[in-house]
Amino acid sequence: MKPILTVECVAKSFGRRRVLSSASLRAVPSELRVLLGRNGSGKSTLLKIGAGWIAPDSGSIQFAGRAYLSVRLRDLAAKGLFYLPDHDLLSTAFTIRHQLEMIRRQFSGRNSAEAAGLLGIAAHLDKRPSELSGGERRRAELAALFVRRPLCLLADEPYRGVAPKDAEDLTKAFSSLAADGVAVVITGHEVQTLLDAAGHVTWCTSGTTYELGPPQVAIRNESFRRDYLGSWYRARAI
Amino acid sequence: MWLVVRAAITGLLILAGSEALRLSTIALVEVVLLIVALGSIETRRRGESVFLANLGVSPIVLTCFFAGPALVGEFVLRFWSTLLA
Repeated sequence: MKPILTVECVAKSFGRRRVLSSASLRAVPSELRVLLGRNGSGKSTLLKIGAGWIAPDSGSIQFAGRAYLSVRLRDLAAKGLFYLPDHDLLSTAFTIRHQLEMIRRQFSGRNSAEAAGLLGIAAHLDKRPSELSGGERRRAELAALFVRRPLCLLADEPYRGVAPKDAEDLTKAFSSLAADGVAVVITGHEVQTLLDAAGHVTWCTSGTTYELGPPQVAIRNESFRRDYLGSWYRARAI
Repeated sequence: MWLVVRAAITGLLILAGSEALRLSTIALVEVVLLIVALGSIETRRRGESVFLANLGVSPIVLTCFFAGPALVGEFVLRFWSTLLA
């Protein structure tokens, strides 16, 4: 299927530090892709560029059939992209219900109580995010996603600080979004969880990216196993 | 936010023995700009920038969101001080 989001050959430096030299990223409808890489490899930077949160030094971005040299998240969001950052998304100033309603009104989205029920946070709708645990906050962010019903989701380390049971539920929610036709790209370091959920693996290393294909193919890639997965995973995979 | 900032400015102006309710046009613009700047800082501090961008909210809309109540409040105060005079 044709990608809805294509980030092509982007480069990005912060001061003298070159984080990305020629990296690419694709988000394909109905597919859950994972972007893996070591700390500091540029995964988050690449995702932020794809979301329009930061501008690349060079390269291009295409979203929903339109090409951009530089684009803002608010413009892509209006066209159907949703970006989950590597920090809490929801404001601590308002209740979950208030924020879900803001999204519903803005995009004529799904009923917020229904979305909260699906994610198991119906009892927390009238609480503020600061009153919830890390896992509950991730669920609330996913409820926002379910209300929004985006065409494309870019999620930066959504499994951070969540218990295994919550991680399992998050995976189900991401898989359900992909099954509904959403193009999903996730980053993280929870290798087994991510590989179990993924339909495609992109490896970010040394400022560039490699499309490794489905997880069962990716884990047979010698360089990926040696430089990213390490001996622990090699022993487990074989 | 406008109420808090305006109360502080009014207090300072009363202490300085100046006209507290009716600001000059330049001072009014400066108060509104201060409110917009403080509002933007508060938005960033609360980490709401990504949420607002995901809603498709542009900086112009956000500026109007902060400047609007401040402008209305200043004009109400100006009208009121004219009536009192």
